[in-house]
Amino acid sequence: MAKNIVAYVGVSAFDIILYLSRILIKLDRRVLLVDNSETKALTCSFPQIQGVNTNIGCITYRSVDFTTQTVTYELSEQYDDVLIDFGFHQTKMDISLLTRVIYVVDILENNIFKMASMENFSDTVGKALFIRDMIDTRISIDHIISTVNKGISKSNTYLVPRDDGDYYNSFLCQLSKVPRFTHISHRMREVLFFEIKKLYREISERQLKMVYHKARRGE
Amino acid sequence: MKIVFWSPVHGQSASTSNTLIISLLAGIFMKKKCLLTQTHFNYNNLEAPLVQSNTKSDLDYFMDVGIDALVKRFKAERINYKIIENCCISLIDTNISLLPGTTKINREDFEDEIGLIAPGLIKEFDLFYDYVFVDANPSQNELSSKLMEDASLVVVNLSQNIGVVDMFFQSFRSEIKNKVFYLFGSYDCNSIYNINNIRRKYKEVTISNSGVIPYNTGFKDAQIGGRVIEFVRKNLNCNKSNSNYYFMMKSIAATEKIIKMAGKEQKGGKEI
Repeated sequence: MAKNIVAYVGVSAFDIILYLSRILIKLDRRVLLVDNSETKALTCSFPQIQGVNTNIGCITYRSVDFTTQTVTYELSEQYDDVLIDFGFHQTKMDISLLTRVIYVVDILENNIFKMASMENFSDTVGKALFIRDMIDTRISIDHIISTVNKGISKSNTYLVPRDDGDYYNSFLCQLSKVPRFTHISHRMREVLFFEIKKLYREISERQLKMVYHKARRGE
Repeated sequence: MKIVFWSPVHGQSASTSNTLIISLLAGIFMKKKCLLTQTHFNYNNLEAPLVQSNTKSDLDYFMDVGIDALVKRFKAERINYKIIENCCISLIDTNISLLPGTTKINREDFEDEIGLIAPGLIKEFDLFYDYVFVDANPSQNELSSKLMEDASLVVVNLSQNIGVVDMFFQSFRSEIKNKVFYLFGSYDCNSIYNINNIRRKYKEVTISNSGVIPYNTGFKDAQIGGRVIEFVRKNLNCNKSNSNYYFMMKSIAATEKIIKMAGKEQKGGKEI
């Protein structure tokens, strides 16, 4: 089985997933990205190829494999890291395969309540909460954490302020189908570093900075 | 072993470039005795990247050598190794003898003559060389068909243009009865039509019978400057930090697969 099978649940995190995959590739990992979301935002970041159905198979693009099928044990065995975008979709996947769950919300109440109404994916694996598109509203982080109600502590909650550069970068990823992140914000960079260190604790800060710089151009 | 390089289209699949790099690696890296030749009439560029001249522009250089001279001798007497070598240009320290193409200016005369003689002639080469690499005319061509019938392996040169690949499988595949190796030239690994996806789309293209020759600016410039032998020698043991590393790594991998499929197994110059 893959070392890391990470689920991203909630509002779109396709950009974070894409950027992480580029860093993992530079660490010589075999990576599979899975789009099981209702928005298909991650799917839009990959060029289409006629004759290969991603509902039953994978495509390879810039050294990363991509699929929209449900992840199974047999599929996960071929990879080191599997990153899955579930969106708000209730999955058919065997949840016991997951090694980590990231809940992703923004500050909009409908999304917070939607997240609250979703079942807990797992109580046994590591989990974190990303609150995206944060703006200065005086809204209480503790209020969001308790409403979301996924048993996540404040130390595992990460705030990502709204940033036009991040938004533009994610727009370019979908438009050009090239997963570059040369102009992301400092906070977004911190999120990526945070996640990579969670997945691979043995990686040094120096090595991480080196691969990050190589990965930014999407090559 | 006769290895025929062929493409369903002219000018798109880098067939001649592929023939050059594969034969050079077979000779220099795998240290096998090779003969390299071509059956094109014109618009081909096999000789110039190796010797800085080609058969149509520099007739003096190719006087008394080449396929024309060999055909004359073949008609007159039984050929032997010495006769073949006298008609070839020996590429120093490569283990490759280059048999230049025709200098004739009348296409019909050339095609009539070569069509009758070439298959028999190329069979004779087998006795004296480990591998005979033939750059054959693309698309539907009677001579190419005859050469492919007798080949130990047919290397079908394709590009990442899926229209060409579709056209090959629809119109040409059933006509090739021998073993086939699919070689994708001027390869761009960043394309969605990369080799992994092509193998998924076309089940007949597998890991063991397909390979790629990446697009490489250094190799292209070396071809234009007539310095491909120097290029290969300089980059044969290059490391990851060298910009030509990917090109060399993939070309060597493709060469090893081709040699293995053709019948003799090789790994790094040693027979196994």
